[in-house]
Amino acid sequence: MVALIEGMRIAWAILEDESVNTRDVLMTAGVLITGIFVGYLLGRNSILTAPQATPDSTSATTVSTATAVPTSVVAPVAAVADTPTPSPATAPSPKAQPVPSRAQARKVISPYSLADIPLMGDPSTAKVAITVFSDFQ
Amino acid sequence: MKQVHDAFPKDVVIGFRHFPLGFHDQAGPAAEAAYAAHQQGKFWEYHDLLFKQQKDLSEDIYVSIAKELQLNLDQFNRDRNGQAATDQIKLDIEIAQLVEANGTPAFLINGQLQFGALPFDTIKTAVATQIEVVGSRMAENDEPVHHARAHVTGENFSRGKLEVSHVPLGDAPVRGPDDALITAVIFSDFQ
Repeated sequence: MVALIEGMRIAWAILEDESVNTRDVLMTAGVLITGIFVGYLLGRNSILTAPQATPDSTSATTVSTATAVPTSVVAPVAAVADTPTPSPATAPSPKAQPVPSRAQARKVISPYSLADIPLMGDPSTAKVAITVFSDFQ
Repeated sequence: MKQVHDAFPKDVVIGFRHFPLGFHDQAGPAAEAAYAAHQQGKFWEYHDLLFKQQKDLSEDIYVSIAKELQLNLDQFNRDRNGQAATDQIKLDIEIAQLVEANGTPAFLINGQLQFGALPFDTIKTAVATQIEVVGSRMAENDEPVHHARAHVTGENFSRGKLEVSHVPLGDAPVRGPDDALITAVIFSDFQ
């Protein structure tokens, strides 16, 4: 863009400058072509318009979640959020691996726990707790 | 069990865990039915009626007992066929296996395992002994009853199952109160 503006400025100067010669014309044309080319390249590589940016970030997400380390859980979410091309409704969801949490952790078994089982008597006053293991047959 | 509870109404609490043996074909469905009765607060009543008809256990019996106890039949059927029933019975079996209760009935009396259909006097003696042990601990350490019971139960259970080792803490960093019921010692590096 800077090159393009510079080219236009020179071209305007050429129109006003009576001392223009062939060398100046060639230089101006070169600057204009260079400016257009550089502008094209910048536009092509822009993250805002490049269509190939989405697959790249998606594959990065897959790799990072496949490692399944706890710290990587945040990374795929951020990668998807940084890709504005798909709308939130159609964006590919990160393939999040089930991460063990305290809530999902297996219940710790105490062999003499009285929780959640039928009780006869008051556990708050009893000096003795009897657990009966039985079937009905 | 009711006899034991009636003998020590204030000092004994009795809990029931399902342990349906594989070769008892009706043990599983009966356990599920009893679980469902428990959800409506009628476990012990259902328990007693099941044992009265333990030779004739069947689907008809489960439903007829539920009707006799005026259980909500829709909820009863939903509960006994639900995942929660399966999960609770599975947990009970795991605990039975953990304490090595290899047959039914088995009794864990403050952590001490006893097998078989024990005479009332045997259970009564064991309970009376534990009442005395826990009572002494409460008096000596000025502990509330549930702390003393938990302590004695843990000691009884460990005595039967594990070799308890004393791990000296020395000047090691410690987190938690000095009188905690459980001490966990962590051996670790940082890599």
